[in-house]
Amino acid sequence: MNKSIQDMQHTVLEKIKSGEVAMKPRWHFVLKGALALAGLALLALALLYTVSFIVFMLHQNGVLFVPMFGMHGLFVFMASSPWLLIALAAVFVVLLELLVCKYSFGYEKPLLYTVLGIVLFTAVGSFVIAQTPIHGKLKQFADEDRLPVIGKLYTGYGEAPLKHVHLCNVTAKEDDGYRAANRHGESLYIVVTERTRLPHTKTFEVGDTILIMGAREGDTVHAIGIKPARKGVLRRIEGQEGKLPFREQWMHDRGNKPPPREW
Amino acid sequence: MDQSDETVVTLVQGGDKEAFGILITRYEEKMKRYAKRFLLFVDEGDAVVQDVFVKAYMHIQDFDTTKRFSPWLYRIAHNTFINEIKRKQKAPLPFFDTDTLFPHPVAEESSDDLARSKELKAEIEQSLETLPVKYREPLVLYFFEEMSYQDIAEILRIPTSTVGVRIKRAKDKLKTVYDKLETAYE
Repeated sequence: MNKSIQDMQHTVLEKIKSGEVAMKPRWHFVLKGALALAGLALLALALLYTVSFIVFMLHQNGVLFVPMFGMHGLFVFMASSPWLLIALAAVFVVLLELLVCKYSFGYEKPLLYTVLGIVLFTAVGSFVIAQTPIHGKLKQFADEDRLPVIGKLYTGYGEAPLKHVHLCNVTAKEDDGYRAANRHGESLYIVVTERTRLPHTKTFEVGDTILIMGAREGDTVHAIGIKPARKGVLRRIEGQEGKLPFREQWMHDRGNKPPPREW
Repeated sequence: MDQSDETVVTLVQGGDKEAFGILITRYEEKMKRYAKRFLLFVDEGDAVVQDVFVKAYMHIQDFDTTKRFSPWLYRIAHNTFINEIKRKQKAPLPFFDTDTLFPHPVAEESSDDLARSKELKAEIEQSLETLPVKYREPLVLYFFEEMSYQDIAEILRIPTSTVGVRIKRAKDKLKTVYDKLETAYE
């Protein structure tokens, strides 16, 4: 046998036998693997939570719908988006990508595919979460001061008033516009002029949920555009069926007559 | 009949320390060859290779004996060598590699190319130092260690198609440096 090989073998085996080099036990690797998987799962959950919260928040304050108003709406959407949370979600995506690339199913594929996979997973997961009342319930707990730590997200980010976007239910028709109630229970006077962008065929009726874009002065909103929103969107946002501020406003305006059931 | 590497690893995992010597015997020359061509400095080559075997022993319980031992050991060697390069080089190695971003068609070398490559090995070896680390390593593993694209992908933890791209780019780079290679490849 080659002398060099004998030397190498001898040196390494001596280190092993003397205890200078010790084999790490199997449980060490099992634990490491389990912790990595747990980290992966936690990161995926954190990403899903963050993105679904962003969607919930944008849905809640109506920003999600403003791109319907064209370029102006898109500008308001960009300006009103929670960029800090979006940056946090991006960081989660990068961290998740780094973890996924530790596994063969990750590094065997081009980066583009794994990133697209994570984005798809996030989109589908957030959509599924959006179908559940989880964020509505958490917001309810936050409002009741029963949600420590993340409660401020809901009462801070989620409640931040937007100057140019208003999601309301029409409570009355007026000569030059509408009276409408928002989710905070405020009754707003929506002024419609010739310059207001309205749907071609649709006039709004009492009970319709509408999205208004326009500057607010006191209780008056000078509407640049109004679009219909799906019925019940405010109720889903609140997650508190039958306990909506706008319901109280409606009943107040209508002499205690309850709002239509389909709300 | 010789026991397979994986059988020997099972013995080591079971506590047979001497059996690890068999693995050293089988892989020392390969590891030294790999280190010499990849690291390009031979002074500390033995110490680095020794480090590879020490790490392999420490992590041997992490090896799945249903898989092949060779790519696993080369993966440890790759990590050890990269750390050595980082230690020697002042400039850090790039964190992100655009080669791994998009899918690429895989076209492994044909047998004719391989036959030709044997003639070129000596010349490639002389010009290895002109190549950046990320191109040098797949070239060394493919031409000198005679590994498949799949094994190289497993060792470097990159997509198989990226291995093909890197080998092609490595050869292109060599072509531009040496006219001899250009003539031989065309």
